Amino acid sequence: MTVSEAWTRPSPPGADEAAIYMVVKNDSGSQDRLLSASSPSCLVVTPHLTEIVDGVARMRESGLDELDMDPGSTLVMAPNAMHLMCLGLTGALEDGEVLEIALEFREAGTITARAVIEHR
Amino acid sequence: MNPLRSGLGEDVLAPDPRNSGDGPLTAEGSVGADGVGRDSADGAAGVGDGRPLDHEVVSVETPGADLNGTGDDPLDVVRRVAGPTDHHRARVLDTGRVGSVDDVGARDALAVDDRIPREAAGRHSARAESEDDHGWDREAMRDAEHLVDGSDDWRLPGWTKGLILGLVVIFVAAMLFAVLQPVRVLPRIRLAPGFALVDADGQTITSEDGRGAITLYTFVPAGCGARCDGVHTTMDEVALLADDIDLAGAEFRTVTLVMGADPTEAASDRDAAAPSGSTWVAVDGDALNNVVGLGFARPTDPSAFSPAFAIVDGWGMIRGEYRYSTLADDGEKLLRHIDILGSELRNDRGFASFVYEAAHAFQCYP
Amino acid sequence: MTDDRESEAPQHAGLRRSLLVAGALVVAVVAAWAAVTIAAPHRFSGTVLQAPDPAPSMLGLMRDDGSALDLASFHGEVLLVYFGYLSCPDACPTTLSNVASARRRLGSTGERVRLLMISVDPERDSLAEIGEYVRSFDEGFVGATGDHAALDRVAAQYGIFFARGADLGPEYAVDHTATLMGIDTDGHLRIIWPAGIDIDRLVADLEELL
Repeated sequence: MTVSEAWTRPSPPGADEAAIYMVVKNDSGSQDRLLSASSPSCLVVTPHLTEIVDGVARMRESGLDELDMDPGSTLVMAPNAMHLMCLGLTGALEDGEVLEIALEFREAGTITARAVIEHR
Repeated sequence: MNPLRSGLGEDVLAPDPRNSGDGPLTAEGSVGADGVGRDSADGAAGVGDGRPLDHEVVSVETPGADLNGTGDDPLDVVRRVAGPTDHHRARVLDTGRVGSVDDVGARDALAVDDRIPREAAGRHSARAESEDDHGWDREAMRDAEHLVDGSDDWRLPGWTKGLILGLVVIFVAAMLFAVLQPVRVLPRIRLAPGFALVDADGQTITSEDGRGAITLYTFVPAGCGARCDGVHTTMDEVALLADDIDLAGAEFRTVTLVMGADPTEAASDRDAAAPSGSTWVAVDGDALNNVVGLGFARPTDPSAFSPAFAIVDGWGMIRGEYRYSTLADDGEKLLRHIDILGSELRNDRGFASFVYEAAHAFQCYP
Repeated sequence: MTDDRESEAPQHAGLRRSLLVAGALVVAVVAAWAAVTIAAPHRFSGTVLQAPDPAPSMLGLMRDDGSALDLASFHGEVLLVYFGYLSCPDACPTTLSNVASARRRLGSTGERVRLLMISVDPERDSLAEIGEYVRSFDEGFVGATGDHAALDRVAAQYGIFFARGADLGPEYAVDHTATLMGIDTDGHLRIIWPAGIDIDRLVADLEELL
């Protein structure tokens, strides 16, 4: 299981949430599932999907099956799609710094990713 | 001597009465082209004897020369020696020279050869007669023109004419389109208002529910009663008949906005009215001003009855606004316009979308 | 006489004729293609309105510098309007970021493109914060908000629906119409782009509007 290209945006003043994006590739050869995530910078991390249906942006939590990963599949978390929602930011996210986030997989165990904070 | 026109398109080769029968050409007989005009004995007219030639046997005076327009080409030699002939004739060249004939636009002599009717030999007529009388294959003759390049009238190759004709057709079609406006579209009048209101069943109805659907709105004052029956009947009729219209998969919805009512009042209005499949939504207070007054630009006096309809498309655009003339007319007009909208939804893809954008630009409205 | 015939050099005449024909055709085709390309209306990537009315008024909203928001002040510029809120973590920053990129790509003409972000969440977003937020994307962006009544009125006229959405603990997410509106240089609402618009198409459409 490989986690790469993790990034997030600098937080606006007073923001309590941040969306974290990354690319997760299941190269382990077996079925797996993302169970949870956590970060020292957030109170809670939950996966969310932004659905833009006919112009309306709605955000909702991902269903568990959306976090299943077949062998060889890649889960791309990108703007306007899926992201890990960091709720309850403990501190502002500054441009150029790094946010650490730990992903717990059922088979692969815990993988820590470092999300760069930058404007994109 | 026959006057020679000069330049392109002239009949370069004209019978030269000087060479009446004693040019080296006729003396030499046939050349390698198969089966055609082998000999003057076949009845092919001799060169320069004043009779039109059906086909002519040509020999190359200087074997090995290439047709490269230098003036030493066999054709030039032939012309010099044999004199000009009627351009309708075919020239049969030494097959050894065929390859280089391409340089001057001529065709494969053998190919030309095949199209020359064998029986043309012996059929002669005055030059003034039409080509058809010669019994020539017209295509062969056209090809033959190329063979003796530059010797014919200003005639464009067939494909050029086709292309020019195509361009003219496109131009005329565009003009006709602009003038006659065969494609009609409903104008994108205004953005439909955004709202979140409560209906007679207590459900929240929002403007977003209309995404991807065609919605027909009407506006009735609270407690309208029998005065508004015509509106409800029209709504139901249109809804029924709109089912038959192909809206490219879009749903057709009807919403009745009850002005100045709360959801309970809207419910009782609905129960009292003729059965209606429409969604009855209550709109009051600020929302009434914002949504109906400003959004739909309709009068908002909850006590006055000003029947009106609005058609909103799946992208939140108001496509039609209707005031009453008579109830019957409006039902039909609504359906007509919904049909127009349906055909735009169905057909607005790919190249056709250019046509529809043009229709919008040219305001081809019903 | 032979000289006359000789001087004709039919191969030359034929070649010249072919070249003339070919040349005329090329010119005709190029001319037709140019006419179609120039005359053809630009294909916008959003819905285009033909309304002659000016864009609905934003009376009642305040700019992030505290002054009243007046659309007339944007005449001569293309104004992109987006309704969102600061705590929106995904759709809003993405849209603002995309518009900022498009503006940069336009270079000097991009100076006449402005984005106005109207927050539909005045409880949490103060004017100052909104201003700081939008300018972190691009110096030329403007923020605005207002009280609920004004927001309802303006949003209704812009076809915007917003309501509190999924409850995420103390932080709520506001469901909102994420379309981007384009008001042209004369103050008419011209085009509505759907959410998630591609930057290249946005640049092309902006060039057309300018």
